[in-house]
Amino acid sequence: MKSYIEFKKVNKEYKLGKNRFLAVNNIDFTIGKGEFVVVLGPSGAGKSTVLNLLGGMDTVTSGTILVDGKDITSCSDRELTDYRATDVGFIFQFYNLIPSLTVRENVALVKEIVKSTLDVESVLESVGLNDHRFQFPTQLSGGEQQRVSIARAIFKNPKLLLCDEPTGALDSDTGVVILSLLQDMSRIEGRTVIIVTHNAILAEAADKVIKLKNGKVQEVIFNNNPIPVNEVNW
Amino acid sequence: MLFRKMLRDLKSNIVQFTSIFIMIFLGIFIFTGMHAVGNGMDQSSKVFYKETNLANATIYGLDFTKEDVKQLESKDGVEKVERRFQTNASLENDTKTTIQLNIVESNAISSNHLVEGEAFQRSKDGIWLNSLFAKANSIKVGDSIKLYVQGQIMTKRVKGLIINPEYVYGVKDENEMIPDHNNYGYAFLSSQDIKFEIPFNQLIIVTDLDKKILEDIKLSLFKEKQSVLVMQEDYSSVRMFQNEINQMKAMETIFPIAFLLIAILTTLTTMTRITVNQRTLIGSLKALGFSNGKILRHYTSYGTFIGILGGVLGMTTGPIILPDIIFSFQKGFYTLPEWKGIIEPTVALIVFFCISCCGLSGFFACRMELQGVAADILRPKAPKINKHTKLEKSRWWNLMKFDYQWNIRDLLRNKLRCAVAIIGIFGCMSLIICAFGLRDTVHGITDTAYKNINTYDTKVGLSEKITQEKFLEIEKNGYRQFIQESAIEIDDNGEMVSLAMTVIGEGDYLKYKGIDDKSITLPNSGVAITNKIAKLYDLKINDQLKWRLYGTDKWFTSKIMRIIKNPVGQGIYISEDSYKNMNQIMVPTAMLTNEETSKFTQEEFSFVQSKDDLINNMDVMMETMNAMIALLISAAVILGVVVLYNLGVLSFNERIRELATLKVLGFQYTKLRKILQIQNIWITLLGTLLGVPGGYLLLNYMLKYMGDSFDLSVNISYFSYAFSIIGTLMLSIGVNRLLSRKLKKIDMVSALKGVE
Ligand SMILES: Nc1ncnc2c1ncn2[C@@H]1O[C@H](COP(=O)(O)OP(=O)(O)OP(=O)(O)O)[C@@H](O)[C@H]1O
Ligand SMILES: [Mg+2]
Repeated sequence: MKSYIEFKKVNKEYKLGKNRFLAVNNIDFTIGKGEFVVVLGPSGAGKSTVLNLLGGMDTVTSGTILVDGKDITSCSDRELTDYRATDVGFIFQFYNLIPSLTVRENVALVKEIVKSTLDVESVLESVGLNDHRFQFPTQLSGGEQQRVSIARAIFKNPKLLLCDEPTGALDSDTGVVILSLLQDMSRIEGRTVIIVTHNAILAEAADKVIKLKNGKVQEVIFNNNPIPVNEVNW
Repeated sequence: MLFRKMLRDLKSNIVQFTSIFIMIFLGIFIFTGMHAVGNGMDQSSKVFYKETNLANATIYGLDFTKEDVKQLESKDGVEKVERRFQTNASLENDTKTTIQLNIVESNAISSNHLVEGEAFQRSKDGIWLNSLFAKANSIKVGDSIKLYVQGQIMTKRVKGLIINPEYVYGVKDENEMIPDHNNYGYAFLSSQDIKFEIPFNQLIIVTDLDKKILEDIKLSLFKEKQSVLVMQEDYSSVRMFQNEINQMKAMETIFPIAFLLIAILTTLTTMTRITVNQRTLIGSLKALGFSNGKILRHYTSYGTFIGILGGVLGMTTGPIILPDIIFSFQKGFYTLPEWKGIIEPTVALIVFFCISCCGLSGFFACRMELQGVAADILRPKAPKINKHTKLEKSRWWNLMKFDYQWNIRDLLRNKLRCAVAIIGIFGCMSLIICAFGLRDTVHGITDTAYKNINTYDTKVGLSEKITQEKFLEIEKNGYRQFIQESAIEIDDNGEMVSLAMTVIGEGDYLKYKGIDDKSITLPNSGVAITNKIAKLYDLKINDQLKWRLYGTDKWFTSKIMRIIKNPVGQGIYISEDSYKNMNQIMVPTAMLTNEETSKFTQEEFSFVQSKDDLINNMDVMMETMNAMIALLISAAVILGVVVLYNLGVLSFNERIRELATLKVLGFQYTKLRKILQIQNIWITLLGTLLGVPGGYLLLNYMLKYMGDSFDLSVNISYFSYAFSIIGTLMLSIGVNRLLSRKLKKIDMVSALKGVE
């Protein structure tokens, strides 16, 4: 399979006073189009950093990241913003919704920056939030809020979905619902979905598992027979 | 330990606390400064009046004798009486000048304050000249000057340069608003130095009797003489200066209010934010065993600390710097031996009150958080339930763009912050409008008074001694209009009020307008009064006015036929015809002409006044006024910038997570800037809109205290309105540019890491 995402010798260095700290240390990996990828690793391994670099929220110290043939490490600020707007959908552990906008408005605000969006109502329908359209985020449960955040991410119709511990703040039942929703995004809609998680069991559901440790790729596991999330033995 | 924490908190909210500091500083600066100005003028003038023994009353009449003095002095309550002869003279080489000569016997009452040279002594001959006139005309002590007095030439050596308490505000006549030291001055001579018989025309009196009693005494003593009593508070100099003092005192409170209000409100919003953010910390402190009182005291200390800092700095600099600026302007109008800003100790109380208010806002903000037990406070606060407003339920809410929705909700949820911002912009706009309006209004006076109403070029005073033949000759000699200017008394429901009356002869140099700005001709019967007089004494058209010439007993009752709008020269105007119809004969005291001043060099004229000089004087005054206007505008700009920036930072910090989210979603910088800008623009527009009437009213309030002799109506040009509005909007946009630089610095990764 032709690689859709390619990390080439990527380094990310943080300066802490006089010391330097390599959060991402010479990483190489590739991800194919439409893959459902799980990134695993202990705390501090550099998972979030990798995801942020890929999402254009942070810049590398050295190395190149190719997304669909485009080198995002050489983009200007403006181009990166455009890249985030059109190509990437983010889902965070803490949802990051705008509290003063309703569910519907939180999703619809994307229209301000992306021209070819999906239909608001059908996206809300697909994440099962139709009845909560006019509520504010603070009036929803955590799982519902995370679904809003997913709806907002897919509303753009992005090719790439980046999820940083999307179930970190949810109970496991709700987590399964969210994760299978994300798996469907890849399976049914053919998006590339990358999920950062602590939960090693999710590996069974992934096409590819990237294990990080101390800023390095420890292991890449290919899974030829991924099983649906809701059939994983939690 | 808690003090350290406070300092660190101050540092992390540096913008808010700096703006609170600036507002308190400016508020206290202006308040104490203006207080020092008003109070200083008050005290300095009182000291001056006392030092020079300013007369409490003057009786004008003719040929007062030594016997008159003795009789008056013998009355109970009359302390001292002195004779004085006052007459006009002019410099021989410059007949445009007018010098009011005071020939005195001892100069123990209303005595001179020596500036340079020898003090006045009755046995010495020579002349004591007003120092400002001397300076303007390059006359020095020891110089000899030649004067035209009563048609004769008199040569005198200048013995000393002086200022006199009766000339604190020394102008030639009602039309002259600003003293013209080039052309008008005064001088004192000893009566022993005069060869001819002196027809003393004034008695100056030191007494503590009131007007009624003095009036009775005057009547009983000088029954057969025409005489007029004027009390000290009615001296035009004393009255004008008192008006000025009142005006300063009025500004002392009105201006700082905006700043102090903003300071207190900003403290309240900032402290609320700090205590809400430190909610869990407050809980921990409580759990650690800190008493409520101690915690309250801690949060009270923030505002108190900043308040003391700003208050003390303002209080120490304001009374020094502001009087300097204001006095340099006042000196153009008034002459005092010493100008000093003086503050009363009571001011400290008011300053203390302001500081307390700032401290208390922390107190109240904290108390809201303290209600409840430690465990409760330790739990994060339940988020505000978001309710849909009516607007949101309306059909077009969903048609609205997201930036509008977001900003409207943000405003509705932060009403206090929004109100503070609107008040700030309102204050800023009001001050700017007021400043420009002041300029326009004063410009307007010059135009109305000297270009529209008084269209002559030269006004020449006719002395009483002018002969009939001479008069006829003048009359023949070209186009002139004669007027008679006299003092009258009107009966205002039993109270005597002195006013100026002008009888206007044939001619068209004087073009009066009514309140509706339509031209008015003076009627053939009855009288016209100025609008200010109408307002002051509650008179209307068709009312009957009871009046008499000063010093006479014959009362006239005239119908008020017209009301005239005139910025200067308040009083009563009568046409010559109407005056004739009252069986009175007009005795011209001055004539108006378009001929140059240099034509009137003869000694017959008691004064020559060029209108250009009046206009030039106004222009000079405008220049000093520009400094005040600049001061007002800087204060306004500081107010606007500080309020907008501070609240911008506040709202920016509150929304930083949301902004980071938008940035992650792919909102471009320019788009985010626009979103942030909308709110500021709305607030600015609303504040500006409110500020227009605000500035109008502020100016109106200021003009009210300008004194009874001016009738100034607010006159703000469209240009000023446009300029103020555009300026304020630019300010708002500028501040927003400054704020949006912060947008670039938002670090998406750390802003989104987790809930704080
Ligand atoms: N802004 C920063 N400055 C300095 N060091 C940082 C910064 N951000 C991350 N690091 C360091 O980089 C390393 C990787 O961080 P990262 O957030 O990627 O870890 P992670 O794998 O996502 O951990 P977790 O599972 O706890 O979220 C950590 O050791 C962290 O201390
Ligand atoms: Mg992480």
